[in-house]
Amino acid sequence: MRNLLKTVFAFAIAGVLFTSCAKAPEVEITNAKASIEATKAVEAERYVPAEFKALQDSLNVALLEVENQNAKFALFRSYKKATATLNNVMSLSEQVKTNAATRKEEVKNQAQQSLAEVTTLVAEVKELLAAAPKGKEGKEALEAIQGDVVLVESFLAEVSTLINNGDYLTALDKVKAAGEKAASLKTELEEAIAKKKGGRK
Amino acid sequence: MKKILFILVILLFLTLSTFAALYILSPNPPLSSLELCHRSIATAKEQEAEKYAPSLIKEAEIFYEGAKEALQKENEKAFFLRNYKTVIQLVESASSKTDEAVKKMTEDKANLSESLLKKLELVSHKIDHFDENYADLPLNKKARKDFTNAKLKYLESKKAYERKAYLLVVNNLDEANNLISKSVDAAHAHLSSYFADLSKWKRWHQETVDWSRKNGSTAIVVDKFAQTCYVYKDGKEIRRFNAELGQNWIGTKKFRGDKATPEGKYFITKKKSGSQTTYYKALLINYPNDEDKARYSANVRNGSIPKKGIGNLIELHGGGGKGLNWTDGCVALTNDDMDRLWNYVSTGTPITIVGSLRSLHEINGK
Repeated sequence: MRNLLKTVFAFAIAGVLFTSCAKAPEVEITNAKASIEATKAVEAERYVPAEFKALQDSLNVALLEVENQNAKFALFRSYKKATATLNNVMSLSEQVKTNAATRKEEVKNQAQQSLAEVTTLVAEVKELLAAAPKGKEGKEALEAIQGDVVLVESFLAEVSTLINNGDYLTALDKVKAAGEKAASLKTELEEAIAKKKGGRK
Repeated sequence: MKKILFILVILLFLTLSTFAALYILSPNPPLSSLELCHRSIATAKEQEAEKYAPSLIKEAEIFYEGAKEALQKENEKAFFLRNYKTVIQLVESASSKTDEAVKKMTEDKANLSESLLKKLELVSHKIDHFDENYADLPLNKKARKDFTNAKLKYLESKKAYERKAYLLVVNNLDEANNLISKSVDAAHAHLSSYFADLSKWKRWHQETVDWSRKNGSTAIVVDKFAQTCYVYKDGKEIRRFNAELGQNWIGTKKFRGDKATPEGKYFITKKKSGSQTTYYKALLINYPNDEDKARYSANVRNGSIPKKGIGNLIELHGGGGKGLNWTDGCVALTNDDMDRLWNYVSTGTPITIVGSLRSLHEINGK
């Protein structure tokens, strides 16, 4: 009888130990959620949308797995799988953060490079304008082109603001538009100057 | 004692068996449905459902969160008391709303893409039309500024459209459309009074051609809007040359220094070449004629123009080919074309200068 009581007591102790070990991974859940929030800070949703979605899916799978374990009888619960998934979410978040930052940097560089190129183009147009023949011939046309250059420059100022605000994709659209217009102004001026040179016998 | 122990074991066995049976038969939480639902919501959001169907996707999310809460509540109950019916219903509602959101988003996106493409084409057409017909007109600075701004906004919209950022395109393209419409309106307003003399110009043109036919001689007609100089012989067009005009060529010449090219029926009074002209070769015409003089006097009397004098020395001369309207009111041809024209004309040859031979509707292709 004493042996039987000892055995029952031992099982009870083991059971208590077992159930007290199988607790939901609350810390990991908090950390995983925080790591996903950190990826939002570097605009992962915008720059690496597919990776960001995969990350959210993984977190959801982990949370559902936690619920799955919660649904089980306390003695049978195991949060190992959920914990592993949550840990994976955290390490993946780091990767996604890096990838988003890299992609963002790429687009930023692209926007900045395009801005520099178009700024150079505008400077060339201004040089051509300065070199264009003065006097009554084409004065009005040159003034019109001058007006267009001012508009292109104001467009480029908007591009700089967009880059400073981190809106690189919109900045790229704008700088490409400004580039096309600046190129057409340059062609217009070059043609006008060429005609002027070859106009007389 | 043994009997009591036996009964206890039997009772324990029965309890465990009942527990096991209930555990095995208790419902499983609908985790796969929840996971699938979450994936479909995430996919919809990735495809911009939040922008195209915000209320539907919000409802789907609320249903999904409700399903999760219901799941948690059920899991807190004893396993044999659990019922996941509410969870399943909420997941189904979330999935249904997600499907609706995706459907709406897909349709709206396709419709928006199509309508934006049409609008892009329309704005592009307006810009090309303006570029071709009005960009070189001596319009006010605002019209030119609006045109350039419209072009920049259009190009930006096109780039955004290419990367499927449709919602970004909407505002920019509307702005581009408004700006180009303003420019076209300004050009039309500028030209509507100009074209009021169309029937007179057509009559002058016909009279000049008829004169050429009757006299078996050469006559010249300059169409300012087309920027073309036509040469007629025996009433038939034999040559045409590109012509460049005064900087303010819209409207007839009214006074000295207005940089306008006159409209009227004139004739050559002198052929100039060599040191007689700075523009290679020149054909001086009898501007101002009687009609010009009468108009000038009337305008001075009613105060609509300054009393600067009517101006003179209007010529068809060389030095052209600059691709713009640059003269002080003369008509400029390239030196090569001037050589060609030189041989057809003599003192007395009629030169009729008209605003246009085509109506504004014809020019606009209507």
